[in-house]
Amino acid sequence: MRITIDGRVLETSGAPTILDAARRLGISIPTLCEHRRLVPYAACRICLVEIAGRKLPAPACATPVEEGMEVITNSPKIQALRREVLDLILSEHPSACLICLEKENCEEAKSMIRKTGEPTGCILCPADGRCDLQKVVTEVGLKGLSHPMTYRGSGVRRDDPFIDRDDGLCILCGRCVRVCHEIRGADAIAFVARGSRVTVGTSMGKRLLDVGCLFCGACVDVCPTGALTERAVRYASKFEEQRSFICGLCGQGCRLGLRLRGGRPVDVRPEDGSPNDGQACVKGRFVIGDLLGHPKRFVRPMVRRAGVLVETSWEDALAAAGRGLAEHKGKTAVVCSARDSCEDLWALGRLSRDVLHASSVRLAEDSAAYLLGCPDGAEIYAPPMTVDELSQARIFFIFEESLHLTAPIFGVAVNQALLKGAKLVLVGDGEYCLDRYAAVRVKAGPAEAGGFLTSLLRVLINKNNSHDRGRPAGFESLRQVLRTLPPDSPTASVKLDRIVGFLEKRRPAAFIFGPRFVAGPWGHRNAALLWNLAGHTGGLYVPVGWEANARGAVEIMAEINRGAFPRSAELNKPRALILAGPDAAFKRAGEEFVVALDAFHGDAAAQADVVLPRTVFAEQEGMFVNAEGRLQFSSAAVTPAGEARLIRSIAADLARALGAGVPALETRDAAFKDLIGAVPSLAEAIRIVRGNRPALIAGKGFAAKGFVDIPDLDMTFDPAAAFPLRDPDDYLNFPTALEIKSLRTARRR
Amino acid sequence: MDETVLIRRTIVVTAGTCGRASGALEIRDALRAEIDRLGAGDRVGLLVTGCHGFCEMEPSVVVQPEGIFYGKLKPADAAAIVKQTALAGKVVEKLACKIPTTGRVVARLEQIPFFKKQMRVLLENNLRVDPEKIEDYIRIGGYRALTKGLFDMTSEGVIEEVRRAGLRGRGGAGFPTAVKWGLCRKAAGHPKYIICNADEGDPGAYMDRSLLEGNPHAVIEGMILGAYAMGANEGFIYVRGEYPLAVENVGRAIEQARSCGLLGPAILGSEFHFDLQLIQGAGAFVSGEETALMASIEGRKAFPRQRPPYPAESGLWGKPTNINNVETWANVPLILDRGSAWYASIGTEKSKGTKIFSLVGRVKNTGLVEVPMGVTLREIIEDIGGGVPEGRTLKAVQTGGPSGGCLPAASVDLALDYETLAKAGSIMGSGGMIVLDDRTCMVDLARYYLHFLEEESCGKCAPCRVGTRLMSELLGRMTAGTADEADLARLESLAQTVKTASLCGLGQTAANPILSTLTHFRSEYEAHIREKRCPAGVCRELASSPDQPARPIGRKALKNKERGRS
Repeated sequence: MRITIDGRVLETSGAPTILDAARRLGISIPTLCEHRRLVPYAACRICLVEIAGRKLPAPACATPVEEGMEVITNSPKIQALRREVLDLILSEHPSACLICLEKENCEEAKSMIRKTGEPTGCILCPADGRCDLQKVVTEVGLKGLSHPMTYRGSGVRRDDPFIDRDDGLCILCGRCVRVCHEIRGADAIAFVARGSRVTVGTSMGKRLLDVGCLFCGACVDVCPTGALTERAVRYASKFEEQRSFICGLCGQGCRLGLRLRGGRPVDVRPEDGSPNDGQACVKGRFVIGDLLGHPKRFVRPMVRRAGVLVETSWEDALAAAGRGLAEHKGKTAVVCSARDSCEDLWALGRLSRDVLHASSVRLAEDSAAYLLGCPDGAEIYAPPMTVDELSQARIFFIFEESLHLTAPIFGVAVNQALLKGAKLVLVGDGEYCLDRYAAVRVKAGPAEAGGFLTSLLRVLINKNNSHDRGRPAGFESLRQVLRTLPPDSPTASVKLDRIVGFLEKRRPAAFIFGPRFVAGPWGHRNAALLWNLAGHTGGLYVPVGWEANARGAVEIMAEINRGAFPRSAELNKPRALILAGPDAAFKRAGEEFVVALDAFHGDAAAQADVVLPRTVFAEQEGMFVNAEGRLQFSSAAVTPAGEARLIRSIAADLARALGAGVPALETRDAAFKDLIGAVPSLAEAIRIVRGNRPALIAGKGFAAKGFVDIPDLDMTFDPAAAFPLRDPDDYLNFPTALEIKSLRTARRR
Repeated sequence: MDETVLIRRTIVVTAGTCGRASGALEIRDALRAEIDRLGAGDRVGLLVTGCHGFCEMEPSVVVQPEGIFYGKLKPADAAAIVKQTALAGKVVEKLACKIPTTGRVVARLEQIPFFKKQMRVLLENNLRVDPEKIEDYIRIGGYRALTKGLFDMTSEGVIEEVRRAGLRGRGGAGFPTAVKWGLCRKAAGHPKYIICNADEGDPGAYMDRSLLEGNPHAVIEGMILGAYAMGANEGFIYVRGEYPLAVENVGRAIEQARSCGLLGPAILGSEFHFDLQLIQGAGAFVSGEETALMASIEGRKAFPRQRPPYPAESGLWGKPTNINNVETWANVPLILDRGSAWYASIGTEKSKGTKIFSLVGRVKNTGLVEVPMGVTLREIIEDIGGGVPEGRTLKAVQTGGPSGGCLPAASVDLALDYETLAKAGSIMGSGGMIVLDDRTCMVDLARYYLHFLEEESCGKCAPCRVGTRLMSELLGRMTAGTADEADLARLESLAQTVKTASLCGLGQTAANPILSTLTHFRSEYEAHIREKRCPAGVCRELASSPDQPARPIGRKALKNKERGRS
């Protein structure tokens, strides 16, 4: 297609909008309601352009280009029209800061005594300096207002956590309403009322807490003005720099930007690009700032003296730890955390294996989602899968996961697909955020879901009996096993038929499950069933790890544990323990010496003999593998709190204290080389990432592996004997986890 | 035996919403009681129908077959009507209409001036059909056009027939219906939807309500034919919630049609499937805008969206959709039944068929009038409407609702069709026609419309949301006598901005009441601003005492004027 914009010719393919085409040519058209990820809305009328042959000007953001179209974006007529429209918008918006005569010199010279209050804007506007409206006023060149000013607001609403809402600053561009619906699927806010009384609000004017808001902060991020702001930083100074890091609060590996002023965190904004593409969740968006400077942080090492933990120096603490550990060499257990970076885990592994000759190294969290199906830990099943692929799925099976809470970015992808007409089958015995979207709801917990999955698999396998070619290994034996089972009840058959109907019409399917579904005695069976189902339907097998590096931790643990440890029964009772993982349920039982590497005061650290303060994710660099399997590098965004040190350095220090320094741990580069030398899957991924391509660490996939045996098909479970399944946030062991949990309770109420 | 006794007469009680409001149901009960009392049930029929359009005379009855019309009845008149007219065929003179100029009594419908000049091809069925009974509609030839279309014609044939008839959209813009249908038929995508827009929101217009209340099957038949022509299998009738009787009648009619095999799978045994759903609007003027209406059907807030893409390409749920007005759909069976040649013989060269106007305002006979396209305003106002009452003079005619404009008295000889009205600065609209006499203040009229639009703007796009409010405020200042010259300039520039920059039809036409009154009655605006005087004596703040016509006595205005002098 060939179009002309301002006399310049552009050849395009596809059907971009005039705005896209103009941007491609480097022609700037001012916009307010337009947003990269949202459906064009055409409400602000700032981007109007002239099109030859059309009576009325058309909005560039919502008008697709047509062959031979001639567009003029900057004629005097259009510029005047834009000024008039902006004039109208500003008659409803405080404008002292926008068209003030002293605007030019204000910041430097402070030539005005800026005492104008919030209703009239100026310095007290929370968006001063980062407001899109200010930019548009400059671009459009509006110098004065010609209409009487109306204040539309009803005061600032502050009855919600995290977010302040101020109608008086809202220009009704609808970005927040659209992001809430189109991207997040929360539908918590909408336009209410009509005409000049229209506002952005909630159902019946309730608090956000009561209308299903998940406080993901997406609305705050897209708001072009100060109408929606983060309360904690409402009056904070402007940030000076923004540093990128990978969020460590769940398994999604969101790339966030920490904004700093004078080296101190101001707030956090999600960054564009994979995997989160400008989205975050309540944890990443609102609590990281508090987390880094939390009053419960350990800032100095502590040693137990006369039964009481007292602060001391690093030398002292390391010497104490070295003494204690030296006594129990070979009888020490090490607990790591899947939240930590690959380097940290590797360093701890090297320490345990080569210095302490530890009796066991394990992860504090349940990484069953990745480990199951491969009991030897040698082979990881989950095939490659990206968020983009997930959003292309046409039918979803979600097991026991509240995606918006445990995997918010996968939740966004699922919402996108549901909006495009995908179907959702929700399996679980709790209440989930996605309940209202479910086409079929199967009330079955992890124990009972096996029956449902088995029946579904049997129906599907019996259905395509006819094609014999290209059938992966294990099919016949599986079919034989399934044949021996008793038939389904009639009611179950109806539900199954409906699901099979969806599966036949909609491809691909996605099977999403978390640790909760594959933990416990039935875990292996559930994972095997899902693997077979996903393989048979050609769907995505999507394990959702709750920890930042769950996927990478499994790879490294597999490498560390490979045959290097004595496995006698006697050694299973360790005499000493290094606790580097957040085991909230830890109870000291018979260990003579406990060293805790912890960041926050908590129950586990309180039982330790030596506490070594460690850094948390935004304070250190490292490699993380997220729930997709994507390898990402995080950089240190802030300096560590107090005297906290990296786990890698602590491991090196401990090794030295034990009198056996490991050269491979001493420097960053050496540690890195050592790691990639030892773990081939990481080495391969890093090679790909260095070639500027995204790298996914992934298993072989169904085509290579084929069907797997399903253990315990006729097993009956006693739900009471089940694993104590914990809340995902318990694993965080961060003080803020408590705050988030109270928020969630409030929402349910 | 007298010959007249042998005829079985039917008393038709017209009980649309307007009839019911003025007591038609009491008249019906009184008539039924009287018939029962006389035991004349076998000789006198009683038929309750929709509205016949002569609202001025409600409650009224028509005794068929002679068509003897009695208006402004009271329940006590029932005895005389049954005994003298229905049983004996005599006219009850004191109940019959009189021609005001001569005083001559005219009893028969076709002799009454209000009806004489009309050409009632759509509305006449309202008097012949009980809207609660599908049998009545079938008895007068209903669904005959459907069988013709389904079994004797192809889909293209139906569109071709509509094209030859020259039917144009009755919703206001006058887009050729066949072209619209053809676009939807050709559009890629499945399924396709058709919609009947019955969200009639213009103040003072109620043609669609009368059709839906009085003869819902005509609309349904038109829609089935349209669906057949376009290949749609699902349709929606979007009725505004403020029309409870229409909702009731349309809902019942859909049920009846479905149980008769006229809707649903395999209509009349053919291979064509089609079903209709009734949707009630929640009371927003903007829902009448087609994209907003579709958003409302989808369950979203009635916000319009930018066009293109037009509904024919991407409408309801992103599928090809056709949307037509009630009156357009009701015309379709007529065209198919009586032939396009007959239909095309009515009207002017470019505007074919008849058009129903709701004639209201300062006119003697208010009501619905159906006239062939091309009659003059004078014929409607003077011959049908009986002229302006109380010896006043005609000042202007407002057509097309809030989106329309005012035609000054000088243009009463204009022939009414789409092009002429557009040229004169107004629009046909859906058919609202408000007659204004010299006691109407044009500034106040514009203020009224802008206030209405301010309230009814959806608030999505900035020019309309803010612009209508500001224009309404400016006009408020003018009528209050607090405006100055700069305000008039500001009003004009605002009107242009809102007109060019708004997103949907509501905003793009919101300034029309101002622009058209400014064109023809600028002097009135100037009188309000410069002299603080309302020439029509309407604006309260500017009202003058009779002996000092130039002196304003409104307090605000006075103060303002004095301030201006000093």
